[in-house]
Amino acid sequence: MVKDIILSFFMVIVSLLNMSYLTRTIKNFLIIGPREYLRQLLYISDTKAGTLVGIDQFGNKYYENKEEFYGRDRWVDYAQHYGDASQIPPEWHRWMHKISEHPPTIDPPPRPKYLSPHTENLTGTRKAFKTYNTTAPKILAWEPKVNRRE
Amino acid sequence: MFTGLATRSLLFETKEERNTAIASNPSKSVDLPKKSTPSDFSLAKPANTAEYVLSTVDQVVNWSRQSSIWPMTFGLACCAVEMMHMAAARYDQDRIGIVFRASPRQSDVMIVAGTLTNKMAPPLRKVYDQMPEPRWVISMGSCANGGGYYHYSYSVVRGCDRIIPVDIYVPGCPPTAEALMYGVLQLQKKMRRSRPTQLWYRK
Repeated sequence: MVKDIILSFFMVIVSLLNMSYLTRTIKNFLIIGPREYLRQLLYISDTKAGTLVGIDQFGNKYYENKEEFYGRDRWVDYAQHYGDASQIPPEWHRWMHKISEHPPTIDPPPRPKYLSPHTENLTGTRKAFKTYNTTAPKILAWEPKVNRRE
Repeated sequence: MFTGLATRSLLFETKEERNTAIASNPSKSVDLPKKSTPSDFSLAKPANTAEYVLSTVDQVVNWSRQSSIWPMTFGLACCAVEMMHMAAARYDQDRIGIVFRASPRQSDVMIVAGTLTNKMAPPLRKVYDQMPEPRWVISMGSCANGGGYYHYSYSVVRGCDRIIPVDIYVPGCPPTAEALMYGVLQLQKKMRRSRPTQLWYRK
C-alpha cells in the first residue's frame, strides 16, 4: 500500500517533468546539449529530445518521444534550411500523421512500379507545374481586323 | 524512452530484411543522393558584384518581412472560424510571428476568409487600398477563390481576385487551419523570392 502511494507520487512527478514546463525544457537541454539546443531554437522554436526513428532518402530525420503528449510525440528535422511539409515522402507522412503505428523502416508500405519519385512543392520555381492542353481547340478565336482610318 | 529504444532495436534486428531503399536504419550510415533544392530552379541569380551585395540586403529585408506578418483579418464567413483556429493554441500562429491586426493601416497581409458578396466588395477594395505597400493577399476557401458554392448566386462575387490581386489561394470548403498555415508558409516562400533592392538597382 505504502509502496503504491510512493510509486503513484513518483509517477505524478515524472509526468509533471514531461509536460510543457520549464523542467521539460531543462531536461531536454541536458539530453541534447547547448549546440543542438540553439539549432532547435532556430528551426523549431522548442527544445525536444527523442529517439531517431529513421532517415528518409532526402536526409530528413524523424524523431519520436512517447513521453511527449499526443500530437507532439513525432517530429521531423528537415535536411534543408527552409523546411517544407511537402519534403516529407508519403511513406513517412503515413508515420508522421499516425496513419501507421510503425515507421516505414519496420513496416514499409507497398510501392508499385508505376509510382513516380516524390518531389516537393516546386511552386514559384522554374519547375512549377503549368497546365497544358493536348487536344485541338473546339472554338476558333476571332481575330479582329480593323480598317485603317484615312 | 530507454525501454522504447530497446524494443525498437529488437524490431530492427528481426525485420532488417524488410528494410528497403525507401528508408534506412538509423543505426547505419546512409549514402544520401545529391540534394536538389528549389533554389536550384530559382528564377534569377545575381550576375555581378553589386547584385551579390544587394541580394544579401534583399535577404535581410525578406527575412524581416516574412518573420513578422501582420494579417488584416477579413473574416467574412465560416472560413473565419478556421482562421481563428490557426490563431489558437494548437497551430499557434504567434510562433512564426503572425499577429492579427485589426487595422489595415498597419497590416501586411489580408486574409480574405469567406464568401465575398457584391455588397461587401466595395469595402474589401477600400480596405485593400488603405493597406500600405508592400502588401499581400491570401484568398482563403472556395468562396473567396472563385465563388465556390455560391458561384451562381445573384449576389456573390465570383472570386475575390475580381476585386483585388491575390498572391496565395488556399483551397478547401473551409480549408483546415493546417491548410491556411501551409498557405502562409507558401507566402513566406514568395516573400523570400522578392528582390526589392536588386530591382531598384536595375532601373
